[in-house]
Amino acid sequence: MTVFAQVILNGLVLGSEYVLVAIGFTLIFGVMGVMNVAQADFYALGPFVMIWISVNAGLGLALGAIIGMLSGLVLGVLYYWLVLKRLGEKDFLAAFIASVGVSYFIENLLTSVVGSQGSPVPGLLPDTFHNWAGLIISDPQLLLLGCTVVITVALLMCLSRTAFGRDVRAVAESRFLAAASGVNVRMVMVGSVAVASAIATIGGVLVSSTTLTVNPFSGGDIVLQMFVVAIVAGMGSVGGAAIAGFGLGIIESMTVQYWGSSWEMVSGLLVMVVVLMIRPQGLFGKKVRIG
Amino acid sequence: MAYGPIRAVQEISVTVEEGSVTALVGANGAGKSSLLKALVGLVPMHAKELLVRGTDVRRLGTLARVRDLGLVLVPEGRGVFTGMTVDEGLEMGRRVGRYREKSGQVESALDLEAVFELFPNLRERRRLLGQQLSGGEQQMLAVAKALLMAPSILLVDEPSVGLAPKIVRGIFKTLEVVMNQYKVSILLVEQDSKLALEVADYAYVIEHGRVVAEGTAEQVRELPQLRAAYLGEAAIVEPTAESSGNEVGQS
Repeated sequence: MTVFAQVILNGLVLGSEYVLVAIGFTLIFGVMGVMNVAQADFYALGPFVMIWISVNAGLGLALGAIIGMLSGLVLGVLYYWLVLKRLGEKDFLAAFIASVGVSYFIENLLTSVVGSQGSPVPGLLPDTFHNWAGLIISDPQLLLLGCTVVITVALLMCLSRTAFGRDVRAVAESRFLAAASGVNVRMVMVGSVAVASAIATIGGVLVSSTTLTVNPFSGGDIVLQMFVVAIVAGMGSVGGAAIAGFGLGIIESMTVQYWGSSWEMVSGLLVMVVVLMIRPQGLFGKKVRIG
Repeated sequence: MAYGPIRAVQEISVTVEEGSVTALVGANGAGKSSLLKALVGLVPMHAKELLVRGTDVRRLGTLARVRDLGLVLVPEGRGVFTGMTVDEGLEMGRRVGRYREKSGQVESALDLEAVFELFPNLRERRRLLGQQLSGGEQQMLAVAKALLMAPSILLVDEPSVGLAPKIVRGIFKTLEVVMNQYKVSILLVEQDSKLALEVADYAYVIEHGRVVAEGTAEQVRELPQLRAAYLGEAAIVEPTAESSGNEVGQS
């Protein structure tokens, strides 16, 4: 029983990582209709910015962590103005391909700067492990899990309760009608991309604080999971992506425990195929008929 | 204005006089709806002139046209967000109205209470989602939201589609009250010419993207094209009226 509970707990920690990339990915899709592959690379950029500020520039861990986490806001705005604004508002396929390009660009740029080996990351919290009746979890893991829940709930509340969230939902439902209703569609798009990117960089900093290492491909490595989570949840569903992200973490964790670590990726894809066969719109997605 | 390679509207010159209802009538596909969307900047328009109170506004984007000029569209097929509550939808409209009050574009805009008095049905439905409303209620919500935006010109696109004429007439009766009180002009696009000419002061008949006739509602009602189409009679009356006022669109 303890083993099973531990497997679930490990799954939640693993799933936090997927949740923090997938909710931003699905948010951007909902608002702009763009599958933003580069979302995962912002996740890797966060810890690197933190390392540069706190280690290379020697400005201290706290400042590095804050700037690393919030760098997504600036990077997201930049990314919107340089790429998505030109392509995403008109042609989602062009924007998708451009985002793949940006993804490669970020990964290769980072590789040329820091090399492809992992860089050591200063942990936000000491790596102390707790043993709660046989359940083992570390402080950084607790921080990651807690922040994931808080960020997800905060984003959902923002979407359902605030004026900005209302505008986001309006644009997601109909850009045309939103514009006719006096919504500043461009601001909603910039804001959404900035928030989504910031959630990714925060996720990167928190996760790297549990693994204590980051490499230029840390983001690229979880692109597949990001897609699986968003698709299984139903593209555009933030709450669904949170549930599916934790779910995928638990499934992968169970697969490793009871089936073998080489099957880790297979189980997630298997779940995606089965879900798509039964509910093509995803678990929490709305049925949309095309054509 | 262009949707891809096809130009929906060829050449139309329309004038909306302040405080009046101007109707564009004519068969489907004549480009009437496209004109309304173009006026709000939602589809591109190659206009020679787009004058609102004498100022050319072609360079302005949708947001500026909606908030600063008060060009407010009630889209075809009910402009209602299906996943939003009635309250949320109305609040979106009210935000624009508040902006227009604050920036001095209008002296006073309707508030929620005034709108609930005009459309009492909506008050009971405040917490319901757009998709849970009946067709008539959705149209009321769309109109109520548009009124909250303190429009100078309300652009109403095919309000009668899928609704009982009685409901549409009711909505127009309500609009008449508001028009006088808040100095709103209406540009109405409507396939049902009979209905449109009942409520309009002045009308343009549009065919294949061109104005083929115009005049006061009484004059247009007597036009042979319309009589043949809707009443099955033939009569020839030349429209002669000229109108001056706010030049709204030439495209």
